[in-house]
Amino acid sequence: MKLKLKLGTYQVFFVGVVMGLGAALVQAYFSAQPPEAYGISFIGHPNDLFAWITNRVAGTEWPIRDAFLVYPVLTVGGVFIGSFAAAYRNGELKLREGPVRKKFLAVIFGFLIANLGLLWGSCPIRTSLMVSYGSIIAIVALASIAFGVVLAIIYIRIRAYRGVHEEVKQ
Amino acid sequence: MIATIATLALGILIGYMGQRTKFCTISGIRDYIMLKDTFRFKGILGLIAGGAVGYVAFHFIGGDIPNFPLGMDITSPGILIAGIVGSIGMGFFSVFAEGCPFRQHVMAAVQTLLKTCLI
Repeated sequence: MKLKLKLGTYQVFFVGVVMGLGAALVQAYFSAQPPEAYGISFIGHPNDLFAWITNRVAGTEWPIRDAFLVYPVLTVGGVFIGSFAAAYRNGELKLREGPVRKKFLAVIFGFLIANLGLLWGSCPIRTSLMVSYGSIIAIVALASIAFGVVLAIIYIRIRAYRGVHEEVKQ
Repeated sequence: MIATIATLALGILIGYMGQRTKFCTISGIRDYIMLKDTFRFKGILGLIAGGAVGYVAFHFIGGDIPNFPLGMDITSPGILIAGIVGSIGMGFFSVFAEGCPFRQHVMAAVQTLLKTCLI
């Protein structure tokens, strides 16, 4: 029997709720802390995993969050397995070009996002979780992320506007 | 050890669901501002709602939720400035990379060579 949940446009909301509850659960009962609201983080967890691996393999002494000193954090591996399985099951598994046209730009954007994320210390998901945790600075950070998105939209619109005008001139 | 297994299990669950629904925080904000489309924006609302319910519920039934609520956790102006600059930059460049770090991971696992480069 195939169980299907009919959520309509609220399916993304449902995924968000599952993420929030899951993050709270792994913190409360599975020791995924400190720091607080660290159940899911796609800046912090890859950072800890990378540091854990290089500390073991190359003998470095990069800092790792207390919860994952002995055994590594595997959220990233889990997401890879989960999304790979979902794509395979639904026939969507194929290699294709990314949305970033130039390869070097993909590398630069990745570098900038990771480093700016580390400057704040969280990805947008953990920032939202910290808002749930009652953090004032996380509210400021989430508003700042939204402001950054607005700036990017303005930049895209200016570029598009100039492009149209140049075409009209020609 | 238990935290490792828990994060792996949670990762598999959210990876599967994230791939099916195209969950993305940055695209949610972008679509809402640009197109007034709330489909993906509901994901952030769900995340905040789910987190709030989870933290409050587990706090009251005896789960390990320390320092809840965090409140005014701004310890120095430097941290506040770093947070603002980092967040604005992350939001700005994530739009050009077509997604938040979670979405980048999902896309790298599924389909995109360039996303692997990006991660």
